[in-house]
Amino acid sequence: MSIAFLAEQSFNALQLGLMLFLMAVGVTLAFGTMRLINLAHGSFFMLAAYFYAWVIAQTDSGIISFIGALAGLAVLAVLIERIIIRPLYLRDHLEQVLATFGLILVFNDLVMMVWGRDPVYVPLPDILSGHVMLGDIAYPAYRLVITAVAIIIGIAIWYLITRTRTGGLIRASADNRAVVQALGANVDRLGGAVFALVAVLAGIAGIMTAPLIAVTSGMGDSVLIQSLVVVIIGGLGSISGALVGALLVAFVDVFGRTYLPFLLGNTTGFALANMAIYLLMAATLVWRPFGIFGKPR
Amino acid sequence: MTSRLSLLAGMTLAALLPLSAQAQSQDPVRLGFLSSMSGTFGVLGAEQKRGMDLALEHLGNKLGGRPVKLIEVDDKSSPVEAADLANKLVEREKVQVVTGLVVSNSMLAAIDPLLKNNVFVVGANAGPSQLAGEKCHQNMFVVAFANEQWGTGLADYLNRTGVKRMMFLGMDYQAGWDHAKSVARNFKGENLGEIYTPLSQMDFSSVLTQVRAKKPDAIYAFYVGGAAVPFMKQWKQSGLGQSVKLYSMGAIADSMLLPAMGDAALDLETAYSWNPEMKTPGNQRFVEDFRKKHGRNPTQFAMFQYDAIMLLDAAVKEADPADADKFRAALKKANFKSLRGNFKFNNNNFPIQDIILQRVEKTPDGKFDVKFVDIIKKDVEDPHHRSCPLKS
Repeated sequence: MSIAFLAEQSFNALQLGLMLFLMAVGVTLAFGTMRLINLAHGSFFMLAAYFYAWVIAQTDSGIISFIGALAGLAVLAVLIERIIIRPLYLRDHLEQVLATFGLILVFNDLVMMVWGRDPVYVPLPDILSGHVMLGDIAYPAYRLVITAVAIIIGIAIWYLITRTRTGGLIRASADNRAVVQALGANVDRLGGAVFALVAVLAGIAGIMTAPLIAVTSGMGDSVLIQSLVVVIIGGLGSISGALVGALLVAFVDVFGRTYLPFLLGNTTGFALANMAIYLLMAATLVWRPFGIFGKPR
Repeated sequence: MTSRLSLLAGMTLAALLPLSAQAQSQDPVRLGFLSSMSGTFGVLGAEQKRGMDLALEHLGNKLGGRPVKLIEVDDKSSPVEAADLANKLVEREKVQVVTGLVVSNSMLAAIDPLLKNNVFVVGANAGPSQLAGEKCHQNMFVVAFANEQWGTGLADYLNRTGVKRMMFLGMDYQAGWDHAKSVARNFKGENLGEIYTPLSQMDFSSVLTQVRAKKPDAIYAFYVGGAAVPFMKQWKQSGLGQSVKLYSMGAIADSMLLPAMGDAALDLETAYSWNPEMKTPGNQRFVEDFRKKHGRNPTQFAMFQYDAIMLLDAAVKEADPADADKFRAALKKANFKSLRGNFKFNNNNFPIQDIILQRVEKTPDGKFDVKFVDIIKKDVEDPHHRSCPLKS
């Protein structure tokens, strides 16, 4: 195993990790600010990809499609928040889980009714279809761009949460919703805005991943499961937890798949590699029952 | 006046006569179509149904000249549901033959209730290895394929064309192992490794990095369903295609999936049983009529189901399904024109067939199509037939 091989696998893991971070940060923000367990997060991932595919088929413009898809998604998210989510804030987590799980089923079937069962084609932007030489490795340019965009968005979120007044309100209402409300802040509107924000983050992840995978009904489901693992490892409600958790999960996953079959033989190795991130999650919970950055509640 | 009356009477009589004469032998054949038309494998079951509908249309909704009572049921890709529906088809609908069965899991769940009640099964896609080997049954026929057949044919071709070093990738489940290992086992060059990824994995960058590090001449990759499009797109993006030749089996890039791949599958070569361009009897009519109805080429899933109905048509012509021994013998003869051309049943009632090679090429209108290249191995059997106690 050469240095180039290790470097390339590390890039792969970094890119997977940042993509997971974009998803997980939404799950964690929704929980942190609104105490909401949102399983429909994977549906936003999927819907954005479908919206993007649909607009780009009409306009042929990547930028218009990107903005259009995200705008559409944000409007949809605000509506969902108003109609379905808002009555659930004060309810039990189980009811939130049931309602948002229902949303997954509804959206999976809806996209099938509108766009059909066969996967939908999403083209790769021409200028990004080439390769970039990183030393000896020809690395796909598109994957590098994904990595860069994810880093920029990560910094933007960090800035929003820690350096702005809105961020302060978000953090405050995460700690004590009732007090922030009593101080005169409009917590309901804040909730709606945060919900739209997390939907857009999932949407960006969905659109950027779409040219790499198949845009089909249910494409967000496995991503949702992975981001839940990330959030549990990092600590529900913690943004740095989402980042650390996402990178941990990605590196364990990629390097587990590379080296475990090599060390333990194919059968045991592949079986263990499939379990690796869940074992990581179990181990983290034994060590820190609330996740690495989680606080006891 | 009288002449007109008698003419009328004669015409009425003429119209009624065939009815009374054939009434007894014209009981409808009770055919069950049990498949997965929604859920995970819904795409495949729906495609099977298109093949069946076209076959019945070509036969004027008759099997062997007899009317058909068709009962369609959807197991929603769930084996539990499949077993339940199998019982219902037997008890409530009194079916004589069941066809469809697109997924191995569902087929394994449904097969016992059907066979125990002396229903004939004509499988049109799934062919789990148990059912080809020790658990084969005289009343169960699979017109499609056994997992290992395409790989066996492809390995032969690779050996012939001088491929020296290969890697094998696949999805981590029974079919993935069967397909990839059947190529690996019969390949005479150097095996640089096998990698199996879980069904849910959609990011293949780490796998492709391993391929890049090993520098094989070629790889074999088995990815179907939701994983096929992501794999092909990421393969294209990795740029590995410039130095490594990719081989697979037809379902990775068929006429249902190609539109979602853009140019990602260009030059991909796959082993299969059939291609729309083959000049076999009836194939052109099948492909053209399918294109008229659905606006694209049929896939092999539709073709297998079409073949299954044509096999039933030929068998019902010779014997009544109620007469089990005669009907079984008639099925076994496979006295029909398979769209694949060369076709016969082995002792385990699985096909012995030719394996073809096809290549994804660009068509003049800028789209992509799977072109027939050649027959690469004739009369391929599956490896399980030896453990099946049935005699041929």
